[in-house]
Amino acid sequence: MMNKNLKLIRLSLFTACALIVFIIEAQIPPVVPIPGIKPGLANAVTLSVLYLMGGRAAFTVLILRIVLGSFFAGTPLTLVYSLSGGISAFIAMVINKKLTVESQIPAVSICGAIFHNLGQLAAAAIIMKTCAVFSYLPWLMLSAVATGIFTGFAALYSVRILKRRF
Amino acid sequence: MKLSNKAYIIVFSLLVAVSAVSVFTGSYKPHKTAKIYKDGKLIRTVDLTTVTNSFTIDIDGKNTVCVEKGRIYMKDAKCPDKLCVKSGSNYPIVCLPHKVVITVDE
Repeated sequence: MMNKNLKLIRLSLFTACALIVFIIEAQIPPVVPIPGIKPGLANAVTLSVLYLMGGRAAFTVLILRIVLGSFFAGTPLTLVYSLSGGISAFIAMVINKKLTVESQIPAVSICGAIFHNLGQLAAAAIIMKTCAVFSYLPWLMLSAVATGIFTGFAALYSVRILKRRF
Repeated sequence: MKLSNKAYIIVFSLLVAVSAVSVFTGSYKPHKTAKIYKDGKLIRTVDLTTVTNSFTIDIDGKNTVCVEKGRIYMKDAKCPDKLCVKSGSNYPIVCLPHKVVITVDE
């Protein structure tokens, strides 16, 4: 059984780590003039926690990172977009984790990225009361697959290294 | 049940293919009427083909829209990232912080 204090420390470290990645990423100027396209590296942390400590811990890190991250580096609406994207990505990743083995983390990550963008688009459509935002869908799907592979491999190698310590 | 890598690769490549096709086929359409929405409400309609002298529209002092013959774009926005300004004339123009959407119909 894992020590309670140890678990608390690990969760705090993972949250701090995710928060730093999230804030640094928010400072990078957008590469493409389309809202919502970014590397999503903070998801690599969520994904690592999901594999190392389970779903409940990963959800805690995710929600803390989004709430604190929007507070430190974003507008009030960032919270709404990030929460809807983050939670739908989390559900997609938990389901896909059950269907795969550990070496397939990149596939789980791509599914997460796809559902993150879908969740965010849905939130944008509801907030702006227009379906026009869905014309960004093809662009967002292309970027989700590309960034999903990237963060997926980042998470895979992190999990492999960190596993020796857990 | 476990899914193989092959299953994932097939699904993802299909998704990429469909997206790429719609990206390349959807971007070259002649356009005429521009509609400006704020908070989901239509606040202004501009016929782009009949514009002779270019003019600007101010939306609540937060966004400046510039209208020229045949095109419309966000000239300035009071937000940090200015994504809608950088997007130029790629329609629809979306400003997430100020909930402004500009669409162009044929």
